[in-house]
Amino acid sequence: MFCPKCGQELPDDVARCYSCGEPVEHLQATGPVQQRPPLTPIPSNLVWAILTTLFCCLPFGIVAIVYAAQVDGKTASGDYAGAREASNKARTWSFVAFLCGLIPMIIYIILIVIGVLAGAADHNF
Amino acid sequence: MAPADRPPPPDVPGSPPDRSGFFRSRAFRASLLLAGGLVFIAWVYFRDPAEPGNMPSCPFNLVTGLYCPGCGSARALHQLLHGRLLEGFALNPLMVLSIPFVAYGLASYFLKSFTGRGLPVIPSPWWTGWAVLGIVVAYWILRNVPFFPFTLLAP
Repeated sequence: MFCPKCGQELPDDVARCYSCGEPVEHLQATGPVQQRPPLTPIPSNLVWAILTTLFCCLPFGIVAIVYAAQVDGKTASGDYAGAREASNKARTWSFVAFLCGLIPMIIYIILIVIGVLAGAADHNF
Repeated sequence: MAPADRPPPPDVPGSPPDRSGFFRSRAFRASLLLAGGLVFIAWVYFRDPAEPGNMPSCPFNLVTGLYCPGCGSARALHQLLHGRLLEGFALNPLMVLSIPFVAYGLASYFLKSFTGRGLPVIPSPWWTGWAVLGIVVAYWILRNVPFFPFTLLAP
């Protein structure tokens, strides 16, 4: 289950969230009818998904958007655990897309900077 | 490990302060992200991605020859940073149109990371994310259609 306050994933038998300390009720069932509403709205992370799709790595950015799109619908239907899981996945895949865009970019910048410096040593400016 | 080798627990007077907490904090991660973003923006400002050698090419475009939804976004950013709004829009209209929403979301994230409180959430219908997905996929397909007016969507 997930902590209703901070969203930390927890085993079903703990009495208190070990991330934020919020007391956690033991749920008889994990269907949407039995879930407690979250204390703060579950973020869809759609902004991160859009940003990484438009700048970074295509397939993973789209995956992130798909998960982000699910969050609000699941929240509206009461499936808070599903919404929390989709929210986390949207963030994770955005991060993967970000790394796929960032790492080649950093290598590229380093190579250019090294190349410029190496080139400058050979020429008189 | 013998007891003498361990640092004393935090609530004992005279113990060293626990500095590792900051590096795990939200503010630190946000600072890294902000720094990286500013480096990227500075790079794009000074080095036009339209000129060869300034930016790695899009892998999707290299492999398939088609445009991904992000193609042209770095070049568009360069034009926008230099005040050329129309040229920027022409290179990637979807990216330019998404800037206000993305900027609002980023501003809220950074405010929340540094001050604890973000901006108010803009109320939007539950299907907003699905609409975004539809728009992105449609844009992706249409900008690859090789005749007018869809060529306007291509960089």
